[in-house]
Amino acid sequence: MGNRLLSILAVIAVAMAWPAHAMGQAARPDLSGLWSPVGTYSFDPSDPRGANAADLTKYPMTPWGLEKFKANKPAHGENQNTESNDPTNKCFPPGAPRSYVTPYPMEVIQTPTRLAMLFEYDVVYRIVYLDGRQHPEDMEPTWMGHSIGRWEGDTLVIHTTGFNGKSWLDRVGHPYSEELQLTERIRRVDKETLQVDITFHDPKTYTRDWTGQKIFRLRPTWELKEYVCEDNYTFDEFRSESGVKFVN
Amino acid sequence: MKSTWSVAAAVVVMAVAAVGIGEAHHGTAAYDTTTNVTVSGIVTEFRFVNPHVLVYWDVKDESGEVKRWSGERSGPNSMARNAGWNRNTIKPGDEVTITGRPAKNGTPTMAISKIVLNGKELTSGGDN
Repeated sequence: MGNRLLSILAVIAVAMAWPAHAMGQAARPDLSGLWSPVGTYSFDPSDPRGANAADLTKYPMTPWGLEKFKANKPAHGENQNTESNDPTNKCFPPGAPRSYVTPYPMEVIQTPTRLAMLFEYDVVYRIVYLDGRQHPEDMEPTWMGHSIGRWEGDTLVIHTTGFNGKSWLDRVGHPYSEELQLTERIRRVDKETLQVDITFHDPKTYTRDWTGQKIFRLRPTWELKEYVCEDNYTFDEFRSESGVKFVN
Repeated sequence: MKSTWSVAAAVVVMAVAAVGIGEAHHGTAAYDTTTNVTVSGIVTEFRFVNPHVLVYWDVKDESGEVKRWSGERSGPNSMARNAGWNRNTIKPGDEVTITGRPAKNGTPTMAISKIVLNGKELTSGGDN
């Protein structure tokens, strides 16, 4: 009798859980996996080293934005500087969306209500809420911002706001402000390719919205490794030993 | 060991087309990317660290004077993934012939592109 009661309860529990599970996941693509970015410097696949970073027709900067851009001295890409003031040199986090343009992979873990992006570079993460909530009002500005997502067919549309404006958008020095809003459209174009199309909206820094793209390749045999930025300070010793002046 | 150790530092400077050089935390601006140098000697230290792995090796010139060279390669994570490197891949005492982009300021430091370890070329780990 006791066993039968347990069996009935178990059947009921499965029956209650199943519809939610099926509705939450079955109809949607799974973006989970370990993804490695293609190209490492900008959000323009046709200009991976940022040779056209100062092209105002591509990056329509306001006077305020242009002033910030000119003050930014990248350590990477076509216009790299020996004396760089890239915030990540001092181990400030890259934030979003720059975590996409490190040379290191990310692990995406998808559940019906969350999408987690775990970034190898500097061991940082991003959570995208898929449960229908809205952005909080009066957010504290942060490096990653606050992200909510919804599905449009096979595409996950993520909206992010609440940035602190302290990082760069990419590795070639494009600035942004606290007014930045990102709209990302993420799609698994085939089993091994993830495409992220981003619209940058930041009226303080750019005179109009502009778009960028990042492509990721699935690396099924890889595991995330650890990259702690502060370990880079071992390079201070290398610098002093070698006498070679690197970026600060 | 001594005889191999005394192999003179063969410093070959040559203009070579682009060879992949790691670039993660800092760029390559400190190095002369238009030339390569090749230097042979004996490893004194290997550091499998971020942002780039570091190799230190002693090089003896014709007069017998020893000069300490150092160099950086790609990041340890990509070296491990793409080429199977680990913290024991290179050990003190190993005989190496190392090619790379020399420091612009003339110090004995390079951005390493190729390592021949005890007579065998090590697999590259990409440029991350």
